[in-house]
Amino acid sequence: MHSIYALRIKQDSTFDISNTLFKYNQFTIQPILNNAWNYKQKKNYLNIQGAFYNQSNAINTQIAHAILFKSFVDDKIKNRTFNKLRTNNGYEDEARWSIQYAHYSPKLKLSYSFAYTYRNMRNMVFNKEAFQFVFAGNKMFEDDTINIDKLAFEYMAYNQLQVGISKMIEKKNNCIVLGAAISVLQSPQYLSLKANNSSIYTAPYGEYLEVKYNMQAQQANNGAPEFFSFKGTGLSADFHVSYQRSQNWMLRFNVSDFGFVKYSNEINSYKGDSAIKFEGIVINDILNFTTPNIFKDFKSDSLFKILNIENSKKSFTVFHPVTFNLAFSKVILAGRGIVTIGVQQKTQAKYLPFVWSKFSYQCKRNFVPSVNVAFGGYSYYNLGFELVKKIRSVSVVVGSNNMLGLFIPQHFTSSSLYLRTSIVF
Amino acid sequence: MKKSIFLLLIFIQFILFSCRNKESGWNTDLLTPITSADLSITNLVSDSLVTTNADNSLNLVYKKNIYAFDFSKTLLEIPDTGISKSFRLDSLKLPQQDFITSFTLGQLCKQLISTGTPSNVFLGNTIIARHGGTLVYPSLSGLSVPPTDYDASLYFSEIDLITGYMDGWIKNGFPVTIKNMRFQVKNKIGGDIIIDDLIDSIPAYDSVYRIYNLAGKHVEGSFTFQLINFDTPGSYGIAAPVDTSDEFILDFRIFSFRASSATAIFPSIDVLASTEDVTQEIPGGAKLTYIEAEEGSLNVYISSSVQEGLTLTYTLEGAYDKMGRPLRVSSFVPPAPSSSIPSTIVKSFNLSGYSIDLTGKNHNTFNTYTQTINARVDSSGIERTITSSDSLRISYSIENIKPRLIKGYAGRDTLDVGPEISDFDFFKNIIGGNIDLEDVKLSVNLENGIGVEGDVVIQDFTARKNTSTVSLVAPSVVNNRIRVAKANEFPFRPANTNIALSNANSNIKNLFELLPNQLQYAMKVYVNPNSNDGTYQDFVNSNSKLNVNLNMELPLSLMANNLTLRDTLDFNIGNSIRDLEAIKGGAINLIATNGYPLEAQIDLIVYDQYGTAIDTLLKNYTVKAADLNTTCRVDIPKKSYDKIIISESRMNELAQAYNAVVVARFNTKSNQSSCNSHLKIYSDYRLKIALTADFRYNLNAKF
Repeated sequence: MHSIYALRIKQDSTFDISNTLFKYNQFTIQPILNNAWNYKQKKNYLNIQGAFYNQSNAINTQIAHAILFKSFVDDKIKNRTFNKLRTNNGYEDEARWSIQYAHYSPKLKLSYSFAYTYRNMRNMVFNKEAFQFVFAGNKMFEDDTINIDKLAFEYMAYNQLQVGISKMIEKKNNCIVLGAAISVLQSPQYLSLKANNSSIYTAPYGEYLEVKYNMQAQQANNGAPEFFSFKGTGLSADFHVSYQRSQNWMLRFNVSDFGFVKYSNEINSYKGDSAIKFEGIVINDILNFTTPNIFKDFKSDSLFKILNIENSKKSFTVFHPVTFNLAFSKVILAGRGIVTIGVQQKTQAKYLPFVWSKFSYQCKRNFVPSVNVAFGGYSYYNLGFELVKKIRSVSVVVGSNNMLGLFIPQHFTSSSLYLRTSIVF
Repeated sequence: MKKSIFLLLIFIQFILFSCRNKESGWNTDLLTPITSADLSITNLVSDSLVTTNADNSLNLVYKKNIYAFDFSKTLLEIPDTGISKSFRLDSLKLPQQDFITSFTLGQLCKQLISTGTPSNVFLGNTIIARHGGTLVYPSLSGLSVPPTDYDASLYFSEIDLITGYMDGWIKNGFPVTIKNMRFQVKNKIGGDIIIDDLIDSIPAYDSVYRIYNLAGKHVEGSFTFQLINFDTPGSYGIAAPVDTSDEFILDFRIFSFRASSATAIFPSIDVLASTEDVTQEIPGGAKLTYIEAEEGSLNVYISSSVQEGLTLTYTLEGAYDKMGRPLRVSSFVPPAPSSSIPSTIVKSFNLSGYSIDLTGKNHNTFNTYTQTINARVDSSGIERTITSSDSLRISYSIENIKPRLIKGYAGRDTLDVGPEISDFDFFKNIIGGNIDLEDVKLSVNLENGIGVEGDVVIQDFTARKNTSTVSLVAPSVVNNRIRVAKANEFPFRPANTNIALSNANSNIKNLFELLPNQLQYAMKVYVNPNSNDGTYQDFVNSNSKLNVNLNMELPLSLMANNLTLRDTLDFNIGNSIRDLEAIKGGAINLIATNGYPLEAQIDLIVYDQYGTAIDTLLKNYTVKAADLNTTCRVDIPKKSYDKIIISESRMNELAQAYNAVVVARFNTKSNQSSCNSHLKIYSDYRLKIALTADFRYNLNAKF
């Protein structure tokens, strides 16, 4: 009654990965499927997908969503987060949408793909006091010192135009797929901040501040986002290799986002390494002091001047965090289920190996639900799901690698959601 | 269907999450310094200079100009002056004219031969035949020479002389004496005889000088010379040399022409030269010898009936510009169309920057300009008739002279100053309370920037505060003549006369303990009280002033009793509510670190632009006085704290603030029983005021 694609495909003596359960073994931590690696039997494949995820070991999803979606972070939300803060904390998120077209050449057994993706991502590591300072201010540190060390924040948005190719090498029941893709990147926005060995002492009643800092920052997003501006351009490459043993198991290894973006010399760079005692705006002649316009005039320029922060325009190059993903999938339950375990690592500070597992079960011929669990990265526990529904040549996928953060955001630090629809013709 | 609802719920959750609160970002509690001011006494007392005594106690030295008498307005007034004068060409001059005529012995022989008289023919031929040899010349009489024409029409066609002379040498080159020589000069056309002279004897090889007055003669441009008769006694029986080239020469000139009328192609000649003084009266009895003009003009009007072009040169003698160039102005006056239609020109010359000597052409007078006018006919090459009735009328005026400097004697005058009232802002912010000063020293400084000596009498000096007054009582000063020396001209240095007032010779302390806001004064100023000493060394320039300055030295040793200061400050914490919307309320902390032995109670009231009080930010905020040690000095400043609670709504009200009024009441405080008298203020005393913000601030970060 429930025919198994894999068996049927095997009868065709062809490895059609796209039509086997193996297509469900990709974990949603990389929620955008790179169809350059999906080997197709059909000639043309069009895919539109959008996804969002965030994960942290300290910041709950509620506060992350509030900031990202510009809602208000009240004291209750902040305090809940403060209680979870550790000495070192991490956070990352990414939102993207993509449209991709792939073409399969049966004669060459080659798949070509072309894709456009918009990506928007942040990652940061910070200590507890830095977070409290940013979200609660310095009043709670009256007559005390805020130490800020190894603070790193990076935000990047870019457009990605990708061309990919994959080739299947088939021998008896073994199949190896090799794939590579190269992308041109165009980034309209970038922001980074690094601070080490910095501190702020707040005197009683705020009579003065003693600020010690060692920081550098780059900013390429002055004013409103300029979607098509070419403040930064770059290249990146993705690589894929997988080995499939009949329809029984599969091992795959991906390298993603190996590349860089170079920003032009119009980008603001800030650098400061100093210590100051700030006693407010010093008034030399109080009798002729005409406008104590203290709130209006206290803008970034004056702050930089007070802090002796050097502002320059120069170009710089940013290397992407590279993602490595290794996964093993095994078909079980007489071919109706597939279980995958994998590990992912990113070249980001304080990023722990992200270990995950996913189980998919084909309930019906055109409906496959999945569950997944994971631990690591900047997050703790993740519990997710995926639903795949196929209606003729159209597939619709909705999923999350952590639905707990979606539904109980005040208590969990990770969430994700992705939607994908594809059509073959 | 159930699955669709499930998906829908997920997205609704997202949408609700995003829209549930219009606010965004988060609130932070910031505690940060806003501003600080380190106030010493120099910040608190405006327009003052603080000096430090040997024990580091302070004096306030306050300097104020209460009166500046601008002498330039009275002493530098030069009235306009002008003169109009006509000049006739009665001094029309023509150049000297020279002419020579001669005849030889050979020509004379030919003349004898031509008479046809046998004896004359014989003698003529004999002389010619004996040329180179010798001959005993016989006596002859009744000899004559035909007339010789002389053409002077290149110089003039005709001329009527008022004066004029002809002189010359008559040179006898013959070897015999000439006697009874009569000769005539006649106009060739009119035949008028200009000269008719008889010379008794001219020895051989000798000459005689003759001069003839031509006054009243009419002389044509062409005239003739003629030897009408001459005799010779011969060589007295002695052989004399014979040389037919020996000459009899008439060498004459006409000179010193002054013509009543002349028709000529006039050469370029001077026809007028006049130098004269013009003296003007200057009000106030000033006798000036020199001025430097900052502004002014020389205006010249010329009318000429001369039918020939004239170049007129006007020189204001002793006037030089900054480059040392004399004031000499040349103007061309075109020929008059006819004798009844004069040609005119009007010109104006800027005198700014000129220095002018006013001592006349002999440099022994004052208020006197010296001018020289020269007129010169410019030769046009055209024959014209000029008569002595032709005239030049020249009008000139020196107007709107505004001197930068005058020298000489400035005159004698008596000037009343006041009674006048001058604002005195030293205590302007003090609106109440009392102050007990240990001492006050006041020096009235009369700074004379004028090169004129004078006397000043202070008739009244009164401190005023509202309706209260205290008049100066100083017998040695009030109503006494005080001599004010004149300034030194070079290098310029004002003369200073100081009148010292203290507790010892006056009630000056009482005047200033009134905390006056006005000073009333009346003076009499005597200019040049000793009249003119004949040296003419006074000077006044446009910046010359007699300044009356007050130099007050106020030792900061005082007792203050509710001494109340009031001041208004601009107060604008933001341009709009939008500027402040990120601030969600909080407090402003005031931290005063007081190093003065003065306690202050401060009120701070904020007003909107219509003068309506919006808020009282401070009421009786007490800045505690610092404690004194046993030597009545402050060692350790004292800190005072206060907090102004500012809610979000109060912040919005403060956004309307326009200015703020600060009222501070000061009292000297002493924690030492030995320091209950006047307390000194020392140079190291400071009051530091710090404002810090304790605000809840909405941070709407965009990542």
